[in-house]
Amino acid sequence: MVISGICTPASQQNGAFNMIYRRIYDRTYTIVNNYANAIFPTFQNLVVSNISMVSYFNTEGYKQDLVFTLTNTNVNVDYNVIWIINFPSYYSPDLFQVDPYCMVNGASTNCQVDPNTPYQLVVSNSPVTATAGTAYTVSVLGLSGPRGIYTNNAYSQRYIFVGVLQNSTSTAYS
Amino acid sequence: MIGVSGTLYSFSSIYAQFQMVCSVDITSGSYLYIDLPVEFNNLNNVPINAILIFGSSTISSNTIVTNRKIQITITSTISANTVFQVQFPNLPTPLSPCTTEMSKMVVTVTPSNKLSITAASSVQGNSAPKLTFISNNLYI
Repeated sequence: MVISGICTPASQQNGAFNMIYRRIYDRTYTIVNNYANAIFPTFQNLVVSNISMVSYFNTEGYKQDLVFTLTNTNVNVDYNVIWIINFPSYYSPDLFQVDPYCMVNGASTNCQVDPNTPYQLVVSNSPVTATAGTAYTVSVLGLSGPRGIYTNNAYSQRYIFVGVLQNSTSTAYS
Repeated sequence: MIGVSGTLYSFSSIYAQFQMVCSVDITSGSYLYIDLPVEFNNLNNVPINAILIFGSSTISSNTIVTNRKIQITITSTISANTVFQVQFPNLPTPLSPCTTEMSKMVVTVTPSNKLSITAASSVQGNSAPKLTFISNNLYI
């Protein structure tokens, strides 16, 4: 069983997954794991890079453009770098009205909605480079703008998460 | 869409004319965006020339193209309910032969800061034809 898109805990206190199975028809617990081999992984410390965002065309039902300005703390931007962007659930699970379109420093680059994790965008194959400590932009164009009712206290406001992976084998954000 | 001239070859260009009317003033400094149907996949973010015609004014300007969206800067106020035209003398056509429903294009107007939308067209309100682009045997 694969569970995608879990919000990780804020602390480094490692616990264990307590997975139980309960039958539907009589609600009886049938299997309970013994904690022995389901330890939560150790987290790397969060690397906080400088990220700001500007949003254009902010009208519900229209295509919204988001432009993130990032200054990586550690990672140089090249074609290996992958950006993972998680959107709040008041966006569409498919995120875009028609097709995903992203740019790095104004140059078109690959981006696709994660096929396994709704609300998650994967930006990759940057055609441009930027050294760590230098500001650059990641533009996400043509998002399906959320309905105003969802962002007007009907749902709690949430953050957009932007993570930078050094390459496709990285297991933690840099 | 009121006119298109030239043979509709794919991987080529056409002279396209769009006629529009907006129910609110489009003030100077606003941006007019024309978001073309998904088949227009050969714009390559390369600016193209646009001609804006309203009343006795004819204004030629360059554009900013991002994906399929063409941005035109409005340099003179267009009054509400005034018919105006946007012409593209060299609009790149789709890469491959296809049929495109031009009514699916969306036209929007934003203020200069682009933070909101002043006016927008709806697909239901559009009156534009289907265009069928064919291959050109001269291309190898």
